[in-house]
Parts: sequence; structure tokens; C-alpha cells
Amino acid sequence: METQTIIAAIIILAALLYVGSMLLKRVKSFSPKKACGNECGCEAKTKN
Amino acid sequence: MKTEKQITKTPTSKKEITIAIAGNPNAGKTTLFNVLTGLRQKIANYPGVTVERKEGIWKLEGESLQLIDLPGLYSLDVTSLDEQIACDVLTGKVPNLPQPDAVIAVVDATNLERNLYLVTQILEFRIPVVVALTMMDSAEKQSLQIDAKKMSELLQVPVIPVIASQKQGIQELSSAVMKAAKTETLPHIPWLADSEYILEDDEIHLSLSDDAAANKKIFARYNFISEVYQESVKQLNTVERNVSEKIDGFLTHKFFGLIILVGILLLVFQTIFSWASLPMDLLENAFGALGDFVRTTLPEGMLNDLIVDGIIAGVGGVLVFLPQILLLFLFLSILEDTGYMARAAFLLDKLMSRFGLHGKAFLPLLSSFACAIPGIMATRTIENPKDRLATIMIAPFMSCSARLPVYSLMIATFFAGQSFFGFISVGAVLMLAMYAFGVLTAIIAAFIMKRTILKSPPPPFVMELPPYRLPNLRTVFQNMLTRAGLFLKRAGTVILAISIILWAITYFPRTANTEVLMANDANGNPPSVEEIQKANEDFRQSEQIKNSYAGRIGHVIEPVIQPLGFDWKIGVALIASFAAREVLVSTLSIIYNVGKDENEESETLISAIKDAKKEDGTPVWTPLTALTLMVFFVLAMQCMSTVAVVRRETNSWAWTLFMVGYMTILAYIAAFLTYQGGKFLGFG
Repeated sequence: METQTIIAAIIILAALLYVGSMLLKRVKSFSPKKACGNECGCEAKTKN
Repeated sequence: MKTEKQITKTPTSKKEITIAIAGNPNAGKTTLFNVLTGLRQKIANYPGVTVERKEGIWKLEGESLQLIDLPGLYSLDVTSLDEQIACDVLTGKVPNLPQPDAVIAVVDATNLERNLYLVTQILEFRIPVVVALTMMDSAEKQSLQIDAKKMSELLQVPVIPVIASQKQGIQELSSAVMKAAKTETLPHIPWLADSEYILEDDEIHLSLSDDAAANKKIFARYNFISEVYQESVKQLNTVERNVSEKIDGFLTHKFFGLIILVGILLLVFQTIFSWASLPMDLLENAFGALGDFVRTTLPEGMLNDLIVDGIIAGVGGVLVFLPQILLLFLFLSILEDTGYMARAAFLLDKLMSRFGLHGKAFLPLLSSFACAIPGIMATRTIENPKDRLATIMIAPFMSCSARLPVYSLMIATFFAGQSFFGFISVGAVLMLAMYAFGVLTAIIAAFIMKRTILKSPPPPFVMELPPYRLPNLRTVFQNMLTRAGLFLKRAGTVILAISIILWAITYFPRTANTEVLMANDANGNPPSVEEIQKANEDFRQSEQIKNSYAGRIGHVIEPVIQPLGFDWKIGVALIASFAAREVLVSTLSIIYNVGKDENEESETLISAIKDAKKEDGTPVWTPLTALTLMVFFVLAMQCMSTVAVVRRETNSWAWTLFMVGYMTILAYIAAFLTYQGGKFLGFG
């Protein structure tokens, strides 16, 4: 395989990983966390 | 003034002292908080809400005090989330946050009557208060002479003039706060020292109905404030105030105010569409030269194509908008800094509120005509989260500059040279109609959202008109640089990654090189080597697009877009334009074998579009198809950068996806109705 092809493949893979990790992070933010402090919204129910 | 019996608070055994800082927006609260805490700060959100919670440690007399910066508020009437949070903090209802031992009430000396209203409400919570009187220099410039000692006597709380940026008065404030936090005497509330008010367990009640009680309380507070103001403030020179009021009368006048506003808007448009063109051209040329340099320097190959056609073209295509963003924020900062923005918002508040929009939505929407990104970022000036969200949701309907090449291409291809009544250009009318269509749809969408999913009480018609000031050049340029930094960072991360992926799906899988057979011309001369090479290259590019993943997706979605009069080639261009709208022009150029470098008004691209035929020999494009495509582009959410900014600004994928979804569905329905309706009327 040519050097150019290898480098281009690495760049494309990195871009895919970056976008993938970004999407994953966003998806994760939807699901409630099991253990967290009072700063992340867990104790919202106690506010009143 | 009447007096009331002195009450003492229950001594607490806790060791750490908690102090809250409260005040109206722009009263200098954050500056004071930063001075008192230095770098010992922690920023998070209050539980379950997106209201920012700022805490810090204040080192004072060998003790570490916990300092809480409350959200900026005008009152504690609990009509907004900010006010609810502030009330919860003051009453100790926020989990893991002790009730404050004392409150520093930051009071803007130039707006005493409004600021003191909040002070009276805080005192009603029976928490010791120390008033920090800020903006004393501005008050002096307005010829206001404030007797802090007298005010302190009347309020029966310490009143300390401070200039936080110069650390003046901080020492006195510190001593007063420490004394107040350790006192066991509850504050006096003389304005409620009436027989109608009953004090039970430190809570004040009225022996009247709820509404009457609330009104009585408000009047009692204002009467007291008025008394305090009259006794402690002297207006030495009324000339300056009169001049400011006269200017206000002119700038907020129903007729002249609007004329001035239109003039300023024209200047903003002129800046965006005209002044920015030179640096944008320079940037475009620079990226073109960079692409040529890389193309000729690097050996031919995949990396060469990726860097030139993917990275430089993709990221460069976005970076050329940097001058627009800089100029826009220059204007926004100047308008805000001089105090004009508040006047413009005041003028338009009434009109916008008819459609459920806040007056402050005006400038973000105006900014969106250049680019929705700074427009959406400018919605930060809208305090109410629902009003802000409604503005964000409709901002991309404003026709941004990225739509212009698409409109221009369609108009030049099918409507050039036509006119109404012999002198009104059809092209100009269509262009104006597209802008107006976007605005109209935005207004209707806002109207519906504000009455359904973003229902909130009509925004109050209360607006602070700050004094006129010369813009602070340092602040203005700092603001511009911050925005530029954010924009460059985004271009170097998200946009870069998306450009690479977009390039890859048009590049793979590779199509085998095939030779084109060319016939001799009419005179029997064989084609030249250059002509054969160009034909081969055009054919290869066309086949490449057709067989690429993007091309295959184009074929897959063809049945969906066929009712709009679009074929698979337009489908591929539509897919590419979801990364950035103007990509449609270069994608069409490639597909129609005229090369990427043709601009949208090129005769060859125009004739290629006109000559394009379907497999059954009928033309792909008609004036109706062009109009349908323009309608689709007015309404569809086709900009990944805008999607990313909406995600960041709303802090919600749900709202972001909702916006993309409803805009795209709306675009599809409108385009469908345009095409099918046009066909029904015989325009197809």
C-alpha cells in the first residue's frame, strides 16, 4: 500500500473516531448517572 | 417610620460561614464576586436545572467563608427559574447548601430605586444584609450625590460604597459582612411595621386576602424606597439627564426611532454583504492558492486529494466567513456598549411580543441573515430560557449568506432577463420573496411554539435603558477575539472531521479509469489531446460520484425526493449540502461534468443544468424545479455547524434534533406543495 493511502486512511479513521466519540458522549448525556453529587441534577426531585 | 420589636435569630452551631451575593443584572455582582474570591471558584449548575451555580471561597480574617453568587434578578417574586433558585438559596431549601448567614446586596448607584426593591425583599427573609453600593463613579457623572451614611440609617443595614475593579471599599465591606454574619439580631423591616402585618415564626403575613396582601406589600416597599431615595440622594445637575432623556425620546419614537433603526440596520447589512467581501475574497484566494500549492507540491495520490478537496476545501469554505463573524460581533458589541441595543429592543418589544417573541430577539434574528451561528450565539442576551429557545428555533429560517449562491444559480439559470411590467426584475422579486418567506415562516413558527411547547407568560414590558456610553474599545475587541477563537476552534475540530468524512463518502469506492471515445468535429478534425484528457476527467468524476457511497445514497433517496421533482443527482447535491448549503453548487458542477471550479453563474453550469435530461429524455430541471429547490433551501436545516451551535447553546440533543426534524419536514412539505401545486396549475 502507498504511503499516501496509509496516511489518508489514518486521517479518515481519526475523523470517524472523533465524530463517533463526540456522538457517544452526547448519547451518554441522555442516560441518568447512577451515582453523582448534587451538581449534576440527581437531586432535582428534592428541590422545592 | 414605624418601628417593630427587635427579634434575635437562633444561634447556630455550624462553623463555616455562608454568604450570598445578590443583585440586579449588570449591577457589578460578578466583578465583586471575582475580587472577593480570586481564583478560588467553582462553577456548576443548581440541581436539575441549567441555572449556573457559582461558588467561591472568601478568605477573611483568617476564616474561609463560602461565597455564593446568586443569579442576577430584579425581584424575588418567583416568576422565573432564576428567582425560584434565589428564593430557595435564601431560605436554605437547596440540598447541601446551608442558608446564608448574610447577604451582600449589590446595588447599582445609578439605578437606586429599582435595585433597592430587591434589597427590601431580601430583608423580608430576615437575613442580615450588607449593601455594596457600586457604580458610584457613574452616579457622580450623572451628578447624583448619594449619602451612604444616611441611606444606611434609613435602611438600618450597613451601606458601603465600593469600586470593585479598583478594590476600593473592599476592606470596609469585609468588616461589615463579618459583623453581619455573626450578629444575632435579625434585620428590621420598617415598611412592614404596620398593624396589618403579623409576625409568626419569623414569617410575615397579612391579615388580608392574598392579592390585596401582595399589592399592599409592593406599595409599602415602594413607599419606603421612595422615602429612602429622597432623603439620601440629591440630583445636582439635571441638564445631562435631560439630554439623555431627549435622545431616548427620539431613538424610541414610534416613527423616527424606526427610521434610525432602519438606517443602522442598513449599515449592518452593508457591512456584512459588502465590507466583508474583500477579506472574504482574499481568504478564498488564499485557500485556493494553498490548494494549488499542495496539489502541485505533493505527489498525486489519495492524501493529495484528501488535503486539497477534503480538508482545504471543506475547512477553508467555512473559514472564509470569519470576516463576517468578526464584523458582526464588532457591531453587536458597539451597539450593546453604547446603550443603543437596549433602545432598539425597547422599540421593537411591543411588535415582537404580539408574536410571542422577546424584543431582544430582534438582533439575533438580524444577525442570522449573515449566518445563523453568530445569530444563535447572540441569543445569550435573552434572559428568559423559553424566549431564548424560541428565538434559537426560528433563527435558521433567516436566509443566510450561504443560501445566496443557491438562489443566484437558480435565478440566473431560469429567471434571468425576465421582468414584471417591463422594469421589475423577476430575479430581484424572487430573491426578496425567498427572504420574506423565511421571515414569515419564522414568525408563524414562533407564534405556534410560544403558544404550545414553549408556552410562557408574555415577556414583561420592563426594560432597563442604560446610560449612553462611548464603547470601550478593549471590551469590543476582546469580544471579537473571543468569538473568533471559538469559531476557529470549531473549524479546526468538528468541521474538519465532518469535511474529511464527507470527502471520503464521495471518494469511495474508487471507480476504474475508463477511456472516452470522442468523435471528430463537424469539419472532420480529430479531438485534441487536451480535449480527450478533459473529457476523460469529466467522465471519471461523473462516474466516481455516481458510484460513490454518496451517489448510492442519492439513488436510495431518489423515491423520496421524486415527488419534489428532484432526481438522484440533485439528491446527491442535497446530501452534500446538509454539511453546508453552498456545497450544492460545487456538487452540481461535478455531477454535470463541468468541474468543481465553475462558479454558480458560469454559463457552462447554467447550460449543463438546462440541458440535463432524465433517462426518458425529459428535462431534469424546469423553472418549477428551481423554485421548488429554492423553497426547500429557505426552510431546510442544512448546516452542520448551526446544528452543532444549537446543541451547545441549548445544551440539549432533544431540542437540536427537534429543530432539524421540524425544519426538514416543513421544507419537504413546502417543496412538495410548490412542485405539485405548480404542476397542477400547469407550470410543470
